[in-house]
Amino acid sequence: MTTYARPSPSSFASSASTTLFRRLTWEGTVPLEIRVDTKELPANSDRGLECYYVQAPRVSYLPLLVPELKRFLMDVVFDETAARAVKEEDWWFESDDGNLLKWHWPIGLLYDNYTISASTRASASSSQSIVPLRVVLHLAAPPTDKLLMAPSAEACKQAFMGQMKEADFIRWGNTKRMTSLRKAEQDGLWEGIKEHDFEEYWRVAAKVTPTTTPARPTSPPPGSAATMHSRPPSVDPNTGAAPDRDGAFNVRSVPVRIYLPDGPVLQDLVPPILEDGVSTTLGYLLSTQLPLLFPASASEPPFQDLASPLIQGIVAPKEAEMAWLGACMAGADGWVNICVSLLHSR
Amino acid sequence: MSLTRPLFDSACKAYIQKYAYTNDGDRIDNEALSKYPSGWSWNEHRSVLGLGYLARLVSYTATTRRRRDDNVEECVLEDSAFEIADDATAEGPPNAFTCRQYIVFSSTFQVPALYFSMHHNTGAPLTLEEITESPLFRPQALPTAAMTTFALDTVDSAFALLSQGDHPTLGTPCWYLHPCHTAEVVEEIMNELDCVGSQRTLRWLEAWFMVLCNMVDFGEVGR
Repeated sequence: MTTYARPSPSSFASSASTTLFRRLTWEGTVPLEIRVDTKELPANSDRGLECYYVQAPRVSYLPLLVPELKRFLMDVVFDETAARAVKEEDWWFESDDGNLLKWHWPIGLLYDNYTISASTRASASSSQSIVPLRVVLHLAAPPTDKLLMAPSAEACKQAFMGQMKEADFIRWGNTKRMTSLRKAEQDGLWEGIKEHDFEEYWRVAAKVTPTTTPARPTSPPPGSAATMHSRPPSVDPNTGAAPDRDGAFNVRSVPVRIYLPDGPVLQDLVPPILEDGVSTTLGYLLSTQLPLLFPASASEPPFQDLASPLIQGIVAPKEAEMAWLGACMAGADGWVNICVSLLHSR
Repeated sequence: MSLTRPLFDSACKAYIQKYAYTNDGDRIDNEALSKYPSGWSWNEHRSVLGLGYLARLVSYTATTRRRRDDNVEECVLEDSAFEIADDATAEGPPNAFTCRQYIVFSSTFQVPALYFSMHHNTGAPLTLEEITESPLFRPQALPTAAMTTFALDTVDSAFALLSQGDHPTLGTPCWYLHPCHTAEVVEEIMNELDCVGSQRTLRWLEAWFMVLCNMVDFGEVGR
Protein backbone atom coordinates (compact mmCIF):
# COMPACT_ATOMS: atom_id res chain seq x y z
CA MET A 1 0.00 0.00 0.00
CA THR A 2 1.81 3.08 -1.10
CA THR A 3 0.75 6.64 -1.29
CA TYR A 4 3.27 9.06 -2.53
CA ALA A 5 3.41 12.28 -4.39
CA ARG A 6 4.58 12.10 -7.96
CA PRO A 7 4.56 14.78 -10.57
CA SER A 8 2.60 14.23 -13.79
CA PRO A 9 1.32 10.73 -13.33
CA SER A 10 -0.56 10.62 -16.60
CA SER A 11 2.32 10.07 -19.02
CA PHE A 12 3.72 7.44 -16.73
CA ALA A 13 0.43 5.67 -16.36
CA SER A 14 -0.45 4.93 -19.96
CA SER A 15 0.73 1.60 -21.24
CA ALA A 16 0.47 3.00 -24.76
CA SER A 17 3.18 5.50 -24.00
CA THR A 18 5.31 2.76 -22.45
CA THR A 19 5.13 0.80 -25.68
CA LEU A 20 5.81 3.96 -27.66
CA PHE A 21 9.01 4.71 -25.81
CA ARG A 22 10.12 1.11 -25.90
CA ARG A 23 9.61 1.07 -29.65
CA LEU A 24 11.39 4.40 -30.10
CA THR A 25 14.32 3.06 -28.11
CA TRP A 26 14.31 -0.17 -30.11
CA GLU A 27 14.15 1.58 -33.48
CA GLY A 28 17.01 3.95 -32.71
CA THR A 29 19.91 3.58 -35.10
CA VAL A 30 23.32 5.17 -35.47
CA PRO A 31 25.52 5.59 -38.54
CA LEU A 32 28.70 3.55 -38.75
CA GLU A 33 31.41 3.94 -41.35
CA ILE A 34 33.60 0.83 -41.27
CA ARG A 35 36.79 0.53 -43.21
CA VAL A 36 39.50 -2.10 -43.14
CA ASP A 37 42.85 -0.88 -41.87
CA THR A 38 44.63 0.03 -45.06
CA LYS A 39 47.81 -1.61 -43.83
CA GLU A 40 45.95 -4.88 -43.59
CA LEU A 41 44.11 -4.83 -46.86
CA PRO A 42 45.30 -7.88 -48.72
CA ALA A 43 47.15 -7.32 -51.95
CA ASN A 44 44.90 -7.17 -55.02
CA SER A 45 42.11 -5.74 -52.95
CA ASP A 46 39.81 -3.30 -54.63
CA ARG A 47 40.89 -0.14 -52.86
CA GLY A 48 38.62 2.81 -52.86
CA LEU A 49 35.64 0.60 -52.17
CA GLU A 50 36.67 -0.75 -48.83
CA CYS A 51 34.36 1.44 -46.79
CA TYR A 52 31.11 -0.07 -45.52
CA TYR A 53 28.29 2.16 -44.37
CA VAL A 54 25.56 0.86 -42.12
CA GLN A 55 22.80 2.38 -40.05
CA ALA A 56 23.07 0.01 -37.12
CA PRO A 57 20.46 -0.52 -34.40
CA ARG A 58 21.49 0.97 -31.08
CA VAL A 59 20.55 -2.24 -29.32
CA SER A 60 22.72 -4.46 -31.52
CA TYR A 61 26.35 -5.50 -31.14
CA LEU A 62 29.45 -5.37 -33.36
CA PRO A 63 29.83 -9.18 -33.61
CA LEU A 64 26.33 -9.27 -35.12
CA LEU A 65 27.50 -7.04 -37.95
CA VAL A 66 30.33 -9.38 -38.86
CA PRO A 67 28.33 -11.61 -41.25
CA GLU A 68 27.20 -8.72 -43.43
CA LEU A 69 30.64 -7.12 -43.23
CA LYS A 70 32.20 -10.36 -44.34
CA ARG A 71 29.79 -10.69 -47.26
CA PHE A 72 30.56 -7.16 -48.35
CA LEU A 73 34.30 -7.62 -48.14
CA MET A 74 34.18 -10.93 -49.99
CA ASP A 75 31.98 -9.50 -52.74
CA VAL A 76 33.59 -6.15 -53.22
CA VAL A 77 37.04 -5.96 -51.75
CA PHE A 78 38.83 -9.26 -51.42
CA ASP A 79 40.01 -11.45 -54.20
CA GLU A 80 39.83 -15.23 -53.90
CA THR A 81 43.13 -15.66 -52.14
CA ALA A 82 42.30 -13.11 -49.52
CA ALA A 83 38.79 -14.49 -49.13
CA ARG A 84 40.13 -17.91 -48.28
CA ALA A 85 42.39 -16.44 -45.60
CA VAL A 86 39.62 -14.60 -43.78
CA LYS A 87 39.46 -15.48 -40.08
CA GLU A 88 36.73 -13.41 -38.53
CA GLU A 89 37.52 -14.71 -35.07
CA ASP A 90 40.60 -12.51 -35.22
CA TRP A 91 38.71 -9.41 -36.27
CA TRP A 92 38.64 -6.46 -33.92
CA PHE A 93 37.36 -2.92 -34.07
CA GLU A 94 38.88 0.43 -33.24
CA SER A 95 37.44 3.92 -33.57
CA ASP A 96 39.33 6.42 -35.68
CA ASP A 97 40.47 8.23 -32.53
CA GLY A 98 42.42 5.14 -31.54
CA ASN A 99 40.07 3.72 -28.94
CA LEU A 100 39.33 0.03 -28.84
CA LEU A 101 35.66 -0.70 -29.33
CA LYS A 102 34.35 -3.20 -26.82
CA TRP A 103 32.37 -5.81 -28.66
CA HIS A 104 30.23 -6.59 -25.64
CA TRP A 105 28.89 -3.03 -25.42
CA PRO A 106 25.70 -2.17 -27.35
CA ILE A 107 26.42 -0.19 -30.50
CA GLY A 108 24.38 2.77 -29.26
CA LEU A 109 26.57 3.00 -26.20
CA LEU A 110 29.74 2.85 -28.28
CA TYR A 111 28.36 5.58 -30.50
CA ASP A 112 27.34 7.92 -27.69
CA ASN A 113 30.70 7.60 -25.96
CA TYR A 114 32.44 8.24 -29.25
CA THR A 115 30.49 11.38 -30.07
CA ILE A 116 30.97 12.68 -26.54
CA SER A 117 34.74 12.20 -26.76
CA ALA A 118 34.78 13.80 -30.18
CA SER A 119 32.83 16.84 -29.03
CA THR A 120 35.07 17.21 -25.99
CA ARG A 121 38.07 17.47 -28.27
CA ALA A 122 36.41 19.69 -30.84
CA SER A 123 35.84 23.35 -30.28
CA ALA A 124 32.59 24.67 -28.92
CA SER A 125 31.70 26.17 -32.24
CA SER A 126 31.91 22.96 -34.24
CA SER A 127 28.79 21.91 -36.05
CA GLN A 128 26.05 19.94 -34.42
CA SER A 129 25.55 17.66 -37.41
CA ILE A 130 25.44 13.93 -36.91
CA VAL A 131 28.81 12.31 -37.33
CA PRO A 132 29.17 8.63 -38.15
CA LEU A 133 31.17 6.45 -35.84
CA ARG A 134 34.24 5.85 -37.94
CA VAL A 135 35.43 2.35 -37.29
CA VAL A 136 38.67 0.74 -38.33
CA LEU A 137 38.31 -2.99 -38.80
CA HIS A 138 41.43 -4.99 -38.11
CA LEU A 139 41.62 -8.47 -39.52
CA ALA A 140 44.27 -9.99 -37.28
CA ALA A 141 46.27 -9.84 -34.07
CA PRO A 142 43.62 -8.66 -31.61
CA PRO A 143 45.19 -6.92 -28.58
CA THR A 144 44.37 -9.57 -26.02
CA ASP A 145 45.39 -7.52 -23.04
CA LYS A 146 42.79 -4.88 -23.80
CA LEU A 147 39.93 -6.81 -25.32
CA LEU A 148 37.85 -9.65 -24.03
CA MET A 149 38.74 -12.78 -25.87
CA ALA A 150 36.72 -14.59 -28.46
CA PRO A 151 34.34 -12.03 -29.94
CA SER A 152 32.10 -14.65 -31.40
CA ALA A 153 28.35 -14.29 -31.63
CA GLU A 154 28.10 -17.02 -28.97
CA ALA A 155 30.31 -15.17 -26.53
CA CYS A 156 28.37 -11.99 -27.28
CA LYS A 157 25.10 -13.78 -26.57
CA GLN A 158 26.37 -15.04 -23.27
CA ALA A 159 27.62 -11.60 -22.27
CA PHE A 160 24.19 -10.22 -23.17
CA MET A 161 22.34 -12.87 -21.16
CA GLY A 162 24.65 -12.20 -18.23
CA GLN A 163 23.74 -8.54 -18.32
CA MET A 164 20.02 -9.34 -18.43
CA LYS A 165 20.37 -11.59 -15.40
CA GLU A 166 22.33 -8.96 -13.51
CA ALA A 167 19.62 -6.44 -14.29
CA ASP A 168 17.04 -8.94 -13.02
CA PHE A 169 19.05 -9.42 -9.84
CA ILE A 170 19.42 -5.71 -9.24
CA ARG A 171 15.68 -5.16 -9.58
CA TRP A 172 14.42 -8.00 -7.43
CA GLY A 173 17.32 -9.49 -5.46
CA ASN A 174 17.07 -12.75 -7.39
CA THR A 175 17.03 -13.93 -10.99
CA LYS A 176 13.80 -15.91 -10.83
CA ARG A 177 12.15 -14.01 -13.63
CA MET A 178 14.99 -14.75 -16.01
CA THR A 179 15.62 -18.31 -14.92
CA SER A 180 11.97 -19.23 -15.04
CA LEU A 181 11.96 -18.48 -18.75
CA ARG A 182 12.14 -21.57 -20.92
CA LYS A 183 15.34 -21.98 -22.88
CA ALA A 184 13.49 -21.23 -26.12
CA GLU A 185 12.26 -17.98 -24.60
CA GLN A 186 15.71 -16.96 -23.41
CA ASP A 187 17.06 -17.69 -26.87
CA GLY A 188 14.17 -15.66 -28.25
CA LEU A 189 15.55 -12.54 -26.60
CA TRP A 190 18.82 -12.86 -28.46
CA GLU A 191 17.10 -13.90 -31.67
CA GLY A 192 15.02 -10.75 -31.41
CA ILE A 193 18.19 -8.72 -31.28
CA LYS A 194 19.86 -10.65 -34.08
CA GLU A 195 16.84 -10.28 -36.34
CA HIS A 196 16.08 -6.83 -34.97
CA ASP A 197 12.52 -7.90 -34.35
CA PHE A 198 10.71 -5.78 -31.74
CA GLU A 199 7.82 -8.20 -31.32
CA GLU A 200 10.01 -11.23 -30.91
CA TYR A 201 12.20 -9.52 -28.33
CA TRP A 202 9.40 -7.96 -26.29
CA ARG A 203 7.26 -11.09 -26.33
CA VAL A 204 9.81 -12.43 -23.84
CA ALA A 205 11.22 -9.22 -22.38
CA ALA A 206 7.78 -8.16 -21.19
CA LYS A 207 7.94 -11.05 -18.72
CA VAL A 208 11.04 -9.73 -17.04
CA THR A 209 10.96 -5.97 -17.54
CA PRO A 210 9.10 -3.87 -14.95
CA THR A 211 5.79 -2.46 -16.04
CA THR A 212 4.38 0.99 -15.73
CA THR A 213 0.72 0.03 -15.61
CA PRO A 214 -0.98 1.69 -12.65
CA ALA A 215 -3.22 0.11 -10.00
CA ARG A 216 -6.30 1.50 -11.72
CA PRO A 217 -7.09 0.38 -15.24
CA THR A 218 -7.53 3.91 -16.61
CA SER A 219 -5.11 6.74 -16.21
CA PRO A 220 -6.38 9.64 -14.12
CA PRO A 221 -6.49 13.18 -15.47
CA PRO A 222 -3.38 15.24 -14.79
CA GLY A 223 -3.25 16.93 -11.43
CA SER A 224 -5.12 14.28 -9.57
CA ALA A 225 -2.06 12.65 -8.09
CA ALA A 226 -3.70 12.66 -4.68
CA THR A 227 -6.50 10.36 -5.83
CA MET A 228 -4.23 8.17 -7.92
CA HIS A 229 -3.33 5.78 -5.18
CA SER A 230 -6.23 6.12 -2.81
CA ARG A 231 -7.31 2.58 -3.58
CA PRO A 232 -5.02 0.00 -2.05
CA PRO A 233 -3.34 -1.82 -4.92
CA SER A 234 -4.23 -5.22 -3.59
CA VAL A 235 -6.34 -6.48 -6.43
CA ASP A 236 -6.44 -5.39 -10.03
CA PRO A 237 -10.03 -5.75 -11.28
CA ASN A 238 -8.73 -6.78 -14.69
CA THR A 239 -6.48 -9.62 -13.80
CA GLY A 240 -7.30 -10.37 -10.20
CA ALA A 241 -3.59 -10.35 -9.40
CA ALA A 242 -1.56 -7.81 -7.43
CA PRO A 243 -1.00 -5.28 -10.18
CA ASP A 244 2.23 -3.75 -9.02
CA ARG A 245 4.10 -6.94 -8.30
CA ASP A 246 6.23 -6.24 -11.33
CA GLY A 247 5.74 -2.50 -11.19
CA ALA A 248 8.63 -0.24 -11.94
CA PHE A 249 8.32 1.42 -8.54
CA ASN A 250 8.51 -1.85 -6.68
CA VAL A 251 12.02 -2.77 -7.75
CA ARG A 252 14.77 -2.63 -5.13
CA SER A 253 17.00 -0.74 -7.48
CA VAL A 254 16.99 0.34 -11.11
CA PRO A 255 19.85 -1.10 -13.21
CA VAL A 256 21.76 2.03 -14.15
CA ARG A 257 25.32 2.78 -15.23
CA ILE A 258 26.90 6.17 -15.70
CA TYR A 259 29.65 6.54 -18.30
CA LEU A 260 32.11 9.35 -17.83
CA PRO A 261 34.06 10.58 -20.85
CA ASP A 262 37.20 8.41 -20.95
CA GLY A 263 35.81 6.29 -18.11
CA PRO A 264 35.29 5.04 -15.48
CA VAL A 265 31.85 3.46 -15.41
CA LEU A 266 29.90 4.21 -12.25
CA GLN A 267 27.31 1.87 -10.88
CA ASP A 268 25.51 2.28 -7.58
CA LEU A 269 22.20 1.36 -5.99
CA VAL A 270 19.34 3.43 -7.42
CA PRO A 271 16.14 2.89 -5.43
CA PRO A 272 13.06 4.02 -7.36
CA ILE A 273 11.66 5.92 -4.40
CA LEU A 274 13.61 7.85 -1.82
CA GLU A 275 13.10 7.57 1.91
CA ASP A 276 10.71 10.50 2.02
CA GLY A 277 8.46 8.89 -0.55
CA VAL A 278 9.54 11.03 -3.47
CA SER A 279 10.34 9.37 -6.76
CA THR A 280 14.06 9.26 -7.59
CA THR A 281 14.71 11.51 -10.53
CA LEU A 282 17.61 11.57 -12.96
CA GLY A 283 18.63 14.94 -11.57
CA TYR A 284 18.78 13.58 -8.03
CA LEU A 285 20.91 10.65 -9.13
CA LEU A 286 23.34 12.87 -11.00
CA SER A 287 23.75 15.39 -8.21
CA THR A 288 24.44 12.65 -5.67
CA GLN A 289 26.84 10.73 -7.89
CA LEU A 290 28.55 13.65 -9.61
CA PRO A 291 27.99 16.77 -7.49
CA LEU A 292 30.94 18.52 -9.10
CA LEU A 293 29.23 18.32 -12.48
CA PHE A 294 25.60 18.49 -11.40
CA PRO A 295 25.13 20.66 -8.30
CA ALA A 296 22.04 19.90 -6.26
CA SER A 297 20.91 23.50 -6.58
CA ALA A 298 21.97 26.73 -8.24
CA SER A 299 23.18 28.06 -4.92
CA GLU A 300 25.82 25.37 -4.55
CA PRO A 301 29.09 25.31 -6.44
CA PRO A 302 29.60 25.02 -9.32
CA PHE A 303 26.20 26.82 -9.45
CA GLN A 304 25.22 25.36 -12.83
CA ASP A 305 25.41 22.07 -14.63
CA LEU A 306 28.77 21.48 -16.24
CA ALA A 307 27.56 18.45 -18.12
CA SER A 308 24.43 16.93 -19.57
CA PRO A 309 23.14 13.34 -19.46
CA LEU A 310 22.57 11.40 -22.68
CA ILE A 311 20.29 8.38 -22.65
CA GLN A 312 19.83 6.54 -25.94
CA GLY A 313 21.55 9.47 -27.59
CA ILE A 314 19.18 12.18 -26.42
CA VAL A 315 19.61 14.69 -23.64
CA ALA A 316 17.33 13.37 -20.93
CA PRO A 317 15.36 15.77 -18.74
CA LYS A 318 16.45 15.81 -15.12
CA GLU A 319 12.85 15.41 -13.96
CA ALA A 320 12.69 12.00 -15.60
CA GLU A 321 11.92 9.31 -13.02
CA MET A 322 14.55 6.59 -12.77
CA ALA A 323 11.83 3.95 -12.39
CA TRP A 324 10.21 5.07 -15.63
CA LEU A 325 13.55 5.15 -17.43
CA GLY A 326 14.21 1.61 -16.28
CA ALA A 327 10.90 0.45 -17.71
CA CYS A 328 10.82 2.43 -20.94
CA MET A 329 14.26 3.54 -22.07
CA ALA A 330 16.65 0.86 -20.97
CA GLY A 331 18.77 -0.88 -23.55
CA ALA A 332 17.86 -4.33 -24.74
CA ASP A 333 20.09 -5.77 -22.01
CA GLY A 334 17.93 -4.13 -19.33
CA TRP A 335 20.37 -1.40 -18.36
CA VAL A 336 19.81 2.35 -18.41
CA ASN A 337 23.10 3.74 -19.71
CA ILE A 338 23.67 7.40 -18.94
CA CYS A 339 26.50 8.94 -20.92
CA VAL A 340 27.78 12.16 -19.40
CA SER A 341 28.64 14.84 -21.91
CA LEU A 342 30.69 17.79 -20.73
CA LEU A 343 29.26 21.11 -21.74
CA HIS A 344 31.57 23.60 -23.35
CA SER A 345 32.15 26.66 -21.22
CA ARG A 346 30.58 29.80 -22.57
CA MET B 1 24.99 -8.06 7.73
CA SER B 2 26.01 -7.58 4.17
CA LEU B 3 28.66 -5.33 2.82
CA THR B 4 28.38 -1.85 1.48
CA ARG B 5 31.00 -0.04 -0.55
CA PRO B 6 32.28 1.99 2.45
CA LEU B 7 32.46 -1.14 4.63
CA PHE B 8 34.32 -2.98 1.89
CA ASP B 9 36.84 -0.14 1.68
CA SER B 10 37.52 -0.11 5.41
CA ALA B 11 37.64 -3.91 5.60
CA CYS B 12 40.28 -4.01 2.86
CA LYS B 13 42.42 -1.39 4.49
CA ALA B 14 42.17 -3.11 7.87
CA TYR B 15 43.05 -6.40 6.20
CA ILE B 16 46.17 -5.02 4.56
CA GLN B 17 47.32 -3.60 7.84
CA LYS B 18 46.76 -6.83 9.71
CA TYR B 19 48.53 -9.04 7.20
CA ALA B 20 51.30 -6.68 6.21
CA TYR B 21 54.89 -7.46 5.55
CA THR B 22 57.65 -5.61 7.27
CA ASN B 23 60.38 -4.20 5.09
CA ASP B 24 62.55 -7.28 5.32
CA GLY B 25 59.75 -9.58 4.30
CA ASP B 26 58.71 -11.00 7.67
CA ARG B 27 55.06 -11.03 8.54
CA ILE B 28 53.95 -8.91 11.42
CA ASP B 29 51.39 -11.45 12.60
CA ASN B 30 53.01 -14.87 12.43
CA GLU B 31 50.05 -16.73 13.78
CA ALA B 32 47.94 -15.87 10.79
CA LEU B 33 50.83 -16.56 8.48
CA SER B 34 49.53 -19.59 6.71
CA LYS B 35 45.86 -18.78 6.66
CA TYR B 36 45.21 -15.57 4.82
CA PRO B 37 46.71 -14.36 1.55
CA SER B 38 48.78 -11.24 1.79
CA GLY B 39 50.87 -8.93 -0.32
CA TRP B 40 47.88 -6.85 -1.44
CA SER B 41 47.96 -3.14 -2.07
CA TRP B 42 45.01 -0.78 -1.99
CA ASN B 43 44.43 1.12 -5.22
CA GLU B 44 42.08 3.90 -6.17
CA HIS B 45 40.92 5.29 -9.49
CA ARG B 46 43.09 8.25 -10.44
CA SER B 47 40.24 10.76 -10.44
CA VAL B 48 37.04 9.25 -9.08
CA LEU B 49 36.56 8.22 -5.46
CA GLY B 50 34.73 5.14 -4.32
CA LEU B 51 36.22 2.72 -6.83
CA GLY B 52 39.05 1.32 -4.73
CA TYR B 53 40.22 -2.30 -4.89
CA LEU B 54 42.93 -4.67 -3.67
CA ALA B 55 45.56 -5.82 -6.10
CA ARG B 56 48.62 -7.99 -6.24
CA LEU B 57 50.81 -9.53 -8.87
CA VAL B 58 51.82 -13.15 -8.58
CA SER B 59 54.23 -15.09 -10.72
CA TYR B 60 54.28 -18.81 -11.24
CA THR B 61 57.02 -20.98 -12.62
CA ALA B 62 55.44 -24.36 -12.92
CA THR B 63 57.45 -27.02 -14.68
CA THR B 64 54.48 -29.19 -15.38
CA ARG B 65 50.78 -28.57 -15.26
CA ARG B 66 48.42 -30.32 -12.94
CA ARG B 67 46.57 -33.28 -14.32
CA ARG B 68 43.00 -33.08 -13.29
CA ASP B 69 42.18 -36.71 -13.80
CA ASP B 70 44.64 -37.86 -11.17
CA ASN B 71 44.12 -37.62 -7.46
CA VAL B 72 47.77 -36.95 -6.95
CA GLU B 73 49.11 -33.57 -7.84
CA GLU B 74 51.57 -33.98 -10.62
CA CYS B 75 52.41 -30.37 -10.73
CA VAL B 76 55.97 -29.91 -9.68
CA LEU B 77 56.66 -26.44 -8.50
CA GLU B 78 60.16 -25.19 -8.20
CA ASP B 79 61.42 -23.74 -4.95
CA SER B 80 60.54 -20.20 -5.71
CA ALA B 81 57.57 -21.30 -7.69
CA PHE B 82 55.23 -18.81 -6.20
CA GLU B 83 56.13 -15.31 -5.34
CA ILE B 84 54.55 -11.98 -4.97
CA ALA B 85 56.04 -10.06 -7.80
CA ASP B 86 56.24 -6.52 -8.85
CA ASP B 87 56.44 -5.44 -12.43
CA ALA B 88 60.21 -5.42 -12.33
CA THR B 89 60.47 -9.07 -11.46
CA ALA B 90 57.67 -10.24 -13.67
CA GLU B 91 60.02 -11.10 -16.51
CA GLY B 92 61.03 -14.70 -16.03
CA PRO B 93 61.60 -17.96 -17.81
CA PRO B 94 59.31 -18.54 -20.76
CA ASN B 95 57.39 -21.34 -19.09
CA ALA B 96 56.40 -18.95 -16.37
CA PHE B 97 53.27 -16.88 -16.20
CA THR B 98 51.98 -14.02 -14.14
CA CYS B 99 48.62 -13.51 -12.57
CA ARG B 100 47.23 -10.09 -11.74
CA GLN B 101 44.71 -10.56 -8.96
CA TYR B 102 42.15 -8.03 -7.88
CA ILE B 103 39.59 -8.01 -5.11
CA VAL B 104 36.93 -5.57 -6.24
CA PHE B 105 33.54 -4.60 -4.89
CA SER B 106 30.73 -5.89 -7.08
CA SER B 107 28.16 -3.15 -7.28
CA THR B 108 25.49 -5.48 -8.59
CA PHE B 109 25.83 -8.06 -5.84
CA GLN B 110 27.20 -5.77 -3.13
CA VAL B 111 29.94 -8.23 -2.20
CA PRO B 112 33.64 -8.64 -3.01
CA ALA B 113 34.60 -10.46 -6.19
CA LEU B 114 37.88 -11.91 -7.43
CA TYR B 115 38.96 -10.60 -10.81
CA PHE B 116 42.20 -11.72 -12.42
CA SER B 117 44.17 -11.90 -15.63
CA MET B 118 46.86 -14.41 -16.46
CA HIS B 119 49.52 -14.09 -19.11
CA HIS B 120 52.40 -16.22 -20.22
CA ASN B 121 55.65 -14.37 -19.98
CA THR B 122 55.52 -14.11 -23.74
CA GLY B 123 52.57 -11.79 -23.22
CA ALA B 124 49.96 -14.18 -24.54
CA PRO B 125 46.95 -14.63 -22.30
CA LEU B 126 46.19 -18.08 -20.93
CA THR B 127 43.19 -19.79 -22.41
CA LEU B 128 40.32 -20.65 -20.11
CA GLU B 129 41.39 -24.26 -20.17
CA GLU B 130 44.93 -23.34 -19.16
CA ILE B 131 43.55 -21.16 -16.40
CA THR B 132 41.45 -23.94 -14.93
CA GLU B 133 44.49 -26.19 -14.95
CA SER B 134 46.81 -23.59 -13.48
CA PRO B 135 47.98 -23.53 -9.87
CA LEU B 136 45.50 -20.74 -9.18
CA PHE B 137 42.70 -23.26 -8.77
CA ARG B 138 42.74 -26.27 -6.49
CA PRO B 139 42.61 -29.56 -8.34
CA GLN B 140 39.07 -30.81 -8.90
CA ALA B 141 37.70 -27.59 -7.51
CA LEU B 142 36.22 -26.37 -10.75
CA PRO B 143 33.54 -28.22 -12.70
CA THR B 144 34.85 -28.39 -16.21
CA ALA B 145 31.98 -30.11 -17.94
CA ALA B 146 30.37 -26.98 -19.31
CA MET B 147 33.39 -25.06 -20.53
CA THR B 148 33.55 -22.97 -23.68
CA THR B 149 36.42 -20.77 -24.71
CA PHE B 150 34.84 -17.87 -22.91
CA ALA B 151 33.04 -19.20 -19.82
CA LEU B 152 32.67 -21.99 -17.32
CA ASP B 153 29.07 -22.77 -16.49
CA THR B 154 27.52 -24.69 -13.64
CA VAL B 155 24.12 -26.33 -13.58
CA ASP B 156 22.99 -24.86 -10.31
CA SER B 157 23.51 -21.22 -11.09
CA ALA B 158 22.03 -18.72 -13.50
CA PHE B 159 25.44 -17.17 -13.88
CA ALA B 160 28.60 -18.67 -15.27
CA LEU B 161 31.03 -19.58 -12.50
CA LEU B 162 34.01 -18.17 -14.36
CA SER B 163 33.66 -15.73 -17.20
CA GLN B 164 35.00 -12.49 -18.62
CA GLY B 165 34.14 -8.96 -17.73
CA ASP B 166 35.58 -5.48 -17.49
CA HIS B 167 37.44 -4.62 -14.30
CA PRO B 168 34.99 -2.25 -12.55
CA THR B 169 37.60 0.45 -11.99
CA LEU B 170 40.23 -0.08 -14.68
CA GLY B 171 37.88 -1.14 -17.44
CA THR B 172 40.41 -3.73 -18.62
CA PRO B 173 39.30 -7.25 -19.55
CA CYS B 174 39.56 -9.80 -16.76
CA TRP B 175 38.27 -13.18 -15.79
CA TYR B 176 36.16 -13.18 -12.68
CA LEU B 177 34.63 -15.70 -10.32
CA HIS B 178 30.97 -15.10 -9.93
CA PRO B 179 30.53 -13.63 -6.46
CA CYS B 180 27.06 -14.65 -5.35
CA HIS B 181 27.76 -18.18 -4.14
CA THR B 182 30.68 -17.08 -2.02
CA ALA B 183 28.57 -14.39 -0.39
CA GLU B 184 25.85 -16.82 0.65
CA VAL B 185 28.31 -19.07 2.41
CA VAL B 186 30.01 -16.14 4.11
CA GLU B 187 26.66 -14.91 5.43
CA GLU B 188 26.05 -18.29 7.01
CA ILE B 189 29.45 -18.18 8.66
CA MET B 190 28.91 -14.65 9.90
CA ASN B 191 25.59 -15.60 11.44
CA GLU B 192 27.48 -17.98 13.71
CA LEU B 193 30.02 -15.44 14.82
CA ASP B 194 29.64 -13.06 17.67
CA CYS B 195 31.51 -9.89 16.90
CA VAL B 196 30.40 -6.39 16.07
CA GLY B 197 31.52 -3.13 14.56
CA SER B 198 34.74 -2.76 12.65
CA GLN B 199 35.95 -6.15 13.87
CA ARG B 200 32.96 -7.71 12.19
CA THR B 201 33.73 -6.02 8.89
CA LEU B 202 37.27 -7.34 8.86
CA ARG B 203 36.03 -10.80 9.90
CA TRP B 204 33.61 -10.70 6.98
CA LEU B 205 36.46 -10.21 4.52
CA GLU B 206 38.57 -12.88 6.23
CA ALA B 207 35.67 -15.30 6.05
CA TRP B 208 35.26 -14.42 2.39
CA PHE B 209 38.90 -15.30 1.70
CA MET B 210 38.45 -18.57 3.58
CA VAL B 211 35.46 -19.55 1.51
CA LEU B 212 37.23 -18.61 -1.69
CA CYS B 213 40.24 -20.68 -0.65
CA ASN B 214 38.17 -23.82 -1.14
CA MET B 215 38.41 -23.15 -4.82
CA VAL B 216 41.32 -20.77 -5.22
CA ASP B 217 44.87 -21.46 -4.16
CA PHE B 218 46.25 -18.11 -3.11
CA GLY B 219 49.56 -19.77 -2.36
CA GLU B 220 51.68 -20.32 0.66
CA VAL B 221 53.99 -17.45 1.19
CA GLY B 222 56.45 -18.86 3.61
CA ARG B 223 59.65 -17.03 4.18
